[in-house]
Amino acid sequence: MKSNEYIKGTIKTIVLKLLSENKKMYGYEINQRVKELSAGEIELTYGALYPILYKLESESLLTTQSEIVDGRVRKYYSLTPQGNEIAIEKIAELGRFVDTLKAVLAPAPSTNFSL
Amino acid sequence: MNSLSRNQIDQIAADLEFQGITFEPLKSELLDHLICDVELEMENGSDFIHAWLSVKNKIPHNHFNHLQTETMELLSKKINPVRIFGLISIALLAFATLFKTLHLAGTGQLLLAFLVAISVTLIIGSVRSVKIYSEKKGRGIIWLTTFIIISFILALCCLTLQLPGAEPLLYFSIISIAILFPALSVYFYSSSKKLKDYLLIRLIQDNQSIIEGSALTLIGFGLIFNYSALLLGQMNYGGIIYFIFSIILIGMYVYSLTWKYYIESDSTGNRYTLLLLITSSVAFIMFLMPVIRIDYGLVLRSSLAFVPMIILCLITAVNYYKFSNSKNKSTLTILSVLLLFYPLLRLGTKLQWYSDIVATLITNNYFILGFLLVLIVLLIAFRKERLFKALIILTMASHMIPSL
Repeated sequence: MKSNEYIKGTIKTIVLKLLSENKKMYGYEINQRVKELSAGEIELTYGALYPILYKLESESLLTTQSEIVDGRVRKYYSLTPQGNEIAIEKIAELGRFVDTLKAVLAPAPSTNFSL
Repeated sequence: MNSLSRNQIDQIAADLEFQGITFEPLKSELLDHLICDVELEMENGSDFIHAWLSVKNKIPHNHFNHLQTETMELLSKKINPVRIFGLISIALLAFATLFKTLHLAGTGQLLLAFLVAISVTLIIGSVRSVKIYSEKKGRGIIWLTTFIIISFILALCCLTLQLPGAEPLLYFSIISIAILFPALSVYFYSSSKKLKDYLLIRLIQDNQSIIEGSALTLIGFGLIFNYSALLLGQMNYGGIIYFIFSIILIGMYVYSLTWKYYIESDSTGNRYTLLLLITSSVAFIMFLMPVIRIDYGLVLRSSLAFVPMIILCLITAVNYYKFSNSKNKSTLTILSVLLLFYPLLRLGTKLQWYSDIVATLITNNYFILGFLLVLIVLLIAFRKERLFKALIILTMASHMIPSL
């Protein structure tokens, strides 16, 4: 997907969705999973992903755990109980929005009005 | 998957530092991400250099800098009670310094209020972190450390008010720190890479910039507080208590910086890590001992005051000479060795090793202020070099009462 303007507002929900399906994930893993699920159409930049992760953590929606892997620190994120509730809410909200958007973007039925 | 060598990892880490990434949690996370990207490229047949260049070229100019700024702004927006009490403490300290400089009554009370506010900040910070990181290992140590530091602060309050019980409290807290911190070092050393996540290390890493900022604030006020008294020839007990408070806390922070090396490297069996453990722990224990008011005699007391600084300079010099990937490693090795002469000169002056000329120079106000300026310039020039910065901060703290 060439334009990122549509993705920006949905990253939070995407991250919450992935974490609701996985017990714990780290930054690179989230990035790769998004790429894989979108068949390479969505690629999160560092600048898009990490501020969101830190924001969610500071809002106590995510909890973290660090591990040493191959000589470096790896930080895993998982949802807190509150984060789980918000994830369900946000996923449903985005789903409804996508449906609305589809309805808006669907070819308009022809009207009988004519001048 | 191709695992990168220590040297290759250090190369990427050095590049991140070069790009200005100083917020430790973000730095380690980006490092892991970049390494994964490089490993993926290498799986597709590239060698390290090409893989790293390919990953690097995909990152827009200043991207990481913007990312760090955005992350820091995001985190600072949240109302944090620890920050509020921290600011109250600084305000009290500022007033105490102002009152002292203007010779107004109430300096002692304000210093006391500052010590109380710092204790409240510590308690709130501990409760908060234990609550937020409820699943993390090491929560008991957070409580224990907080309890010991508050005992130390209480002892200083009792000393200021000349209340009974000051000395037993002071001895208890200093001996506890002298046991707990080296014990933690040994624990981290023996745990090596097996230790996954430890709350105390996590908190220190997450708050490094805040700790360094607080240390510099303490030093700044301490310099005004003590120098105004010194220049007027009125050095008092309050100034010395404040000096003890600042230098012990800063010393604890500098010593805690070694923990990261133990848990991130395969320290067991590594003779350099073992040497670091022994030398830094000996220096730390020596550093704490002058607070316990025993009649050590001039030679031992002076050695206890200055030898730890000399050891720290040596550790820093060896680190930059042998292990660092910093582009300034040669300069920093030389500067660390040069800084070693300051505690050495002060030790020699105390023990009358030199002629009166050298002793007069060391205690000369122009030299004192000139050296302080040099330290400030070094601090600004090498602000991204964590260990060297810590050495400068400790040297500045020791410079707080140059006649002591």
